[in-house]
Parts: sequence; C-alpha cells; structure tokens
Amino acid sequence: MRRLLLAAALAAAAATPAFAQAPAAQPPLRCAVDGTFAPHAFPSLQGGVQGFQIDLFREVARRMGREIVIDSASFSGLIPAMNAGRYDFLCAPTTVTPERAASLLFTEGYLWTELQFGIRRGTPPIRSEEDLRGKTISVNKGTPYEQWVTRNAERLNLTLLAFDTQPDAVQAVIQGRAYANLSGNTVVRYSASRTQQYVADFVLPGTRLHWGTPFRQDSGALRNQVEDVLTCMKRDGFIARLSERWFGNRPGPDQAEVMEFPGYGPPGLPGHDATPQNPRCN
Amino acid sequence: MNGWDRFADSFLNARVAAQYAPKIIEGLWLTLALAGCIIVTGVLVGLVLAVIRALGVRPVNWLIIFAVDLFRALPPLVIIVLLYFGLPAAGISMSGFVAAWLALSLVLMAFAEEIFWAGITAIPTGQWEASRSLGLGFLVTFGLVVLPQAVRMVIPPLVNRTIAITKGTALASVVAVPEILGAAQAGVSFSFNPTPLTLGAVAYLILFLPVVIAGRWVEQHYRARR
Repeated sequence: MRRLLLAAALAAAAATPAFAQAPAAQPPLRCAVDGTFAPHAFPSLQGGVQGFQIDLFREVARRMGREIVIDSASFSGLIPAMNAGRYDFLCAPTTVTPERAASLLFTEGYLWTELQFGIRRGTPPIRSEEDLRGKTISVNKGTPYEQWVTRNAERLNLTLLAFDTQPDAVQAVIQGRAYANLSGNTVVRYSASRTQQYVADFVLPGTRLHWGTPFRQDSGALRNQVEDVLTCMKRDGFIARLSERWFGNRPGPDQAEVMEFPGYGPPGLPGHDATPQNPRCN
Repeated sequence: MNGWDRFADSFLNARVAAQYAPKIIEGLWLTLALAGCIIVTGVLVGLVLAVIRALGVRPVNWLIIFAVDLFRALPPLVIIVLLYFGLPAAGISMSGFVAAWLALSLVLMAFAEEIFWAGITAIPTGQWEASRSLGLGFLVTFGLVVLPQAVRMVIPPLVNRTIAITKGTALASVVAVPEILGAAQAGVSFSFNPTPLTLGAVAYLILFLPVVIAGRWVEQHYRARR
C-alpha cells in the first residue's frame, strides 16, 4: 500500500509540469502517410519517415500551435482508418477525384498531380495511349492510378499488377514483369532520379488534379483551419521552397504550390464551401 | 445516426457490397485454385519425403532434415518475397501466383513431412517384426502394413496444419495476385468503406468451412481403431 501511494505521488509529481506548461492543451493532431512514397514520405536512415509531406504538415501543426503525430501505413488502409476515427486527416498526398470528394472533405490542392508513366531504360518511349495496347501496367494498390488502369483495361486490353508499395511497382518494371508503371508525376520523376534502370516517360493528357488533404465529412471546421494555414504558407512561399527542395524545380505561377483557389476545398467539386477565405497570416 | 447505423453503414453497406462483390468472387476463384495447388503439392511431396526418410539413407536424410527445418523456420511471407523479388536477380522470373504457390507448398511440405514421419515412427516395432516374420519384404511391410496405419493416425494434425498454411494464400496479395484479400483491399480504398473486407471474410468462410468439415469427416471415417 505504501509503495502504491509512493508511486501515485511520483506519477503526480511527474505529471504536474506538463499541466503547468500548457493550460488546456489540445490533443495532438493525428495523421498518416504511406511511408513508401518517395519523395513525399519515405523511411529515413535515422528511423521514422521523411519527405515533402512530413515537412509540410509539421509546419502546419507548428503554425496551429498543436503537436502532430504522423503514422505510416499502406495507402489502401489509410482512408478507412481515418473514417474509423483513428486519424484527424491524412498527411499523404491524396488525389481529389469527384468520387472521393462525394464522401470526404478536402482542402484545396497544394500540388498539382498528373498521371505519368515510368518505363525501363531502353524501352521505346510511349507517345500515346495506343502504345500501351495489350501491355502490363504496374501500380500502387488502391490509388487513382490503379483505377485508371482498371477503367481502361478493356479499351486498351491492359493487364493490371497492383502492389502494396510504389517501390515494388517500380521493381516490377525494372524486372520486366510490367511494361510500364503508372503513378503521380512527382513520384515517377523521383524514382527515375534514384534508379538508373527506370525513366520517367509519357504524361497522360488532361489528368491534372488537385493533391489535397482529406478530412472526414464532419470535420469541416478543422478542414477550414488547415486550409487557412496552407493558404498562408502559399503566400509566404513556404510550400514553393519545400517543393524546390524535394522535387528539384522552382514552381512557376501556374503551379498549385503558389496558386490560391477561391473558397474552401477544390472548386467545382462536392464539399466546396464558397465562403471567401480570410486567413490571418502572421 | 446511432452507433449501430454507423457500424452497419461501414461494414454492411449494401451499395458498396453490390459494387465490389464480383471482384471478390473473382478473388475467391483465384484463392481456390491457389489453395488447391498448394494442398496437393505440399501434402504429396511431404509424404514422398517421409517415405524416402524411412529408407534410412544417411546423407539423404540429412538433406531432408535440413530442408524441413529451413522451411519450418522461415516465415512464409519472407519466402514469397524472396522468390518473387529476389530470384529475378539470378535470372529466374516467376509470376506472383507461382511464387505464392511454390513458397506455401514448400512450407506445407516441411510440416507434412514431419507429421508423416511422426506417424511412421509411432508404429510399434511389433508390427514390423510380425510382418517380416510372415516373409514379407521391407517395402511391402512398409507400404501395406506401416504406412496405412501411420497416415490414419496423423490425419487430425495434418488437416489442422494444412488449413493453417493454406490460409497463407492471403499473403499472395503482396506480390500482386488479386486473390480474396487483395481484391477486398482494393475495394476498400476505392469505396472508402470497409464493407469489401466483410465480403472477403465471408468468402474465406465459404472457402474454408467446407475444408474444415471435410477434414472432420475424413478424421471420423479413417479413425485409427485401437
């Protein structure tokens, strides 16, 4: 009993400074990334994950005055886990499609994403969709890239190879199991810079989409808060600098890193809130 | 929307279920084919190895024991990934289906060999002596007297182990085989709703409940009479 009391007293003593520091501290923000999606989020040698998304959302949390916990898991499980209440939002770059916007709330895009193919060095370049006819395409499972292949499988007679991670999908191209890998432009270009055997190739025309931050349907207030912070980071060039650091080129004026979109959420899609943004940037 | 409604909307969503059921059914056929191949190869090769081991050729037995211990020690996922992503570097490339079939067959082979061997060694020496004293040769004694009794004795552990290893077909989703789990996971991330996983669980029940029941029937039917 005496030992118990002592333990309780020690625990209380240990806990008090924390209470003293931050009166009524909010709980840390919880978000998740797919930690195999270089250069957005990938393992660092010190342990944990590094990348564009990690730097971006650590800064977002800092400006909101909150702690943030970033988990890493396979992309196909992230959205169900967020809907189950495990995460407040996703730090993974999530492509905004009409289908997704119908069931989730998104911030406006902070990057454009285009669908791009990567091929093995020495393969003749792809000039049009026709060149893909009858070929095998490798993708990361549960992504818009997999959906594109599924939707066009009949029209172009494509075979789908869906992997849990993007590196596995790249490996499949290098080993000749797949003719090409379909992913986001930033990721394909980064994979090509890291792997001699893999080159960035054909960009699918008309596939420029927002890469935004998804929230649950009931998190409208938090969505607007995060979007305000992102807008400030667009204005002071933070996202542009981050983009240059991780993707290697300075974004022009037509890039989502610096473009501000009216209202909250990607314009023209479900979940868009037309209230004019009025962020207070310090 | 109370708690039950939210749960039902998440896990028992009829709209999502209707949309992704065909995909899961395709996965079910694939899993069925893969499981069938694994059971046949694994159990047969395991039995053959146990019989060879009973012949008692020392160097051969060392090899068998080494192989069996290796595949009992390695996690099946490691073997699948090694076969699929590792071997192409050595110039051997195989499809995800073949890699999963080979890996799980090797694991089942190792366990099956060990189970059959346990059965063979558990047959009392008296059975051997009685059979040989009637003038039957070694092979006839082994094939007609010892082995049938041994196999009968080990059916329960063998059925158990077979079911446990065959469920490893779910690992094939890692090497791009769209079996039940792979199809379910893809459905979840397109629909943002975990109902396809529920469908996947149902598909596994449809697949394995008959196997479990058949195993029970085999046990009853061939029970070793004591």
